[in-house]
Amino acid sequence: MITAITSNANTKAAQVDEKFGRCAYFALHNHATGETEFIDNPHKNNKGGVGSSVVEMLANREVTQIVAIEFGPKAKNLLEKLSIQMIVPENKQITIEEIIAKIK
Amino acid sequence: MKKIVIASGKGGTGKTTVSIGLHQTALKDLNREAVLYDFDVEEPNDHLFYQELELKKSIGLTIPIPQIDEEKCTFCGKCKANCSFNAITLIPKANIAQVSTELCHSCGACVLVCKDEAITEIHQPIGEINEFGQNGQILLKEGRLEIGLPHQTALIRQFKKSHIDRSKVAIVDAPPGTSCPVVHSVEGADYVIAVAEPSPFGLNDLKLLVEVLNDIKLPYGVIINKADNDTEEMEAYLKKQNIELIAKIPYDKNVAEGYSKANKQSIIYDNNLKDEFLNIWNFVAKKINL
Repeated sequence: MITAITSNANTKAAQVDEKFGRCAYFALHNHATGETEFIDNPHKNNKGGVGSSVVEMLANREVTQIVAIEFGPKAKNLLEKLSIQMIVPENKQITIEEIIAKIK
Repeated sequence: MKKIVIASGKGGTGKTTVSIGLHQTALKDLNREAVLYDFDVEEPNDHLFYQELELKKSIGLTIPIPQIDEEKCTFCGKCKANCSFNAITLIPKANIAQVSTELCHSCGACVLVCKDEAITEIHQPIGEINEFGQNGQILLKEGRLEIGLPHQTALIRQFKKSHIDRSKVAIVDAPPGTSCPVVHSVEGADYVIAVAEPSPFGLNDLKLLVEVLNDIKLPYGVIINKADNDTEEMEAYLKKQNIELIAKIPYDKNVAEGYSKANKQSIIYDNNLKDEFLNIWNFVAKKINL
């Protein structure tokens, strides 16, 4: 199982990024290996359709759970179809490290 | 025949007043054949000024939107790679292959490149063209976008391509602003009249429109409407930019009242604007041999 978390930098000390489709990085936490990989968001500067593009990318990387502050309508629609769980943290300033500790 | 487009960067400056004024001047005072076109497809309201006309014809418009047959699709990704608008989503493991109708520009590229014959185009309604007239003559045509759809430009493009009567003078009431629907409305005009009001907002938005018109290299001039305030700053700007001032229409509360009742008789004839519009017509006529 892989959890994707929007992240404003590529370290575990970074905070969850307030944007979903246009976040700077995604932290991909692999529950089986316990490893966390940071990937650059290649769609962050696209003109339109960012939400769908990001969902497509994450789904094709076998992500089954996403942590973000907010999800747009197009992204939400697709995520529901794909049965990918959406998680919104209560604390908006939470770090990637703290999120990983919580979802373990 | 010639096409005059009335535009403005800011809403509410008097595009419709000028459009109707010129249309009536052509028909009634000069005995010319002219058709008014309402391109403000999100909120077409010129017809409110023409209660005497009947709705003669309503023509539905559609755009082709591709649909992907997920059974036939092999998820090769060619359609997605050739889509300039990020409208296609492909998720093979979930068998999802879909096109976002909001993002699709109906360019047809995906249909061309699909080797699986999995993509067909359906005709999605986007709005209509309504034609109003009397005594066998069409005098007003409006474009009307279906509420909530983002296809202003597609509708205006079809309107321009197939619904303009080339045998008569065309007076086009453009939507406000400076984005795609406006660009498509003014493109191909023989002359553009930019209507501005002398306020800081009016000047700011006029400057934006001027940038667009210079960019597309269209002949244009400016009408300063509601010219009771200080028009000095706006006139100084026009002079500096070498832009022709067509006319200044003074502010008149009675005209505003006539407008609020959608009474074109009151706007043009009861309040002495007849000569203003005749002068504007003559100015433009001289420019483009109307």
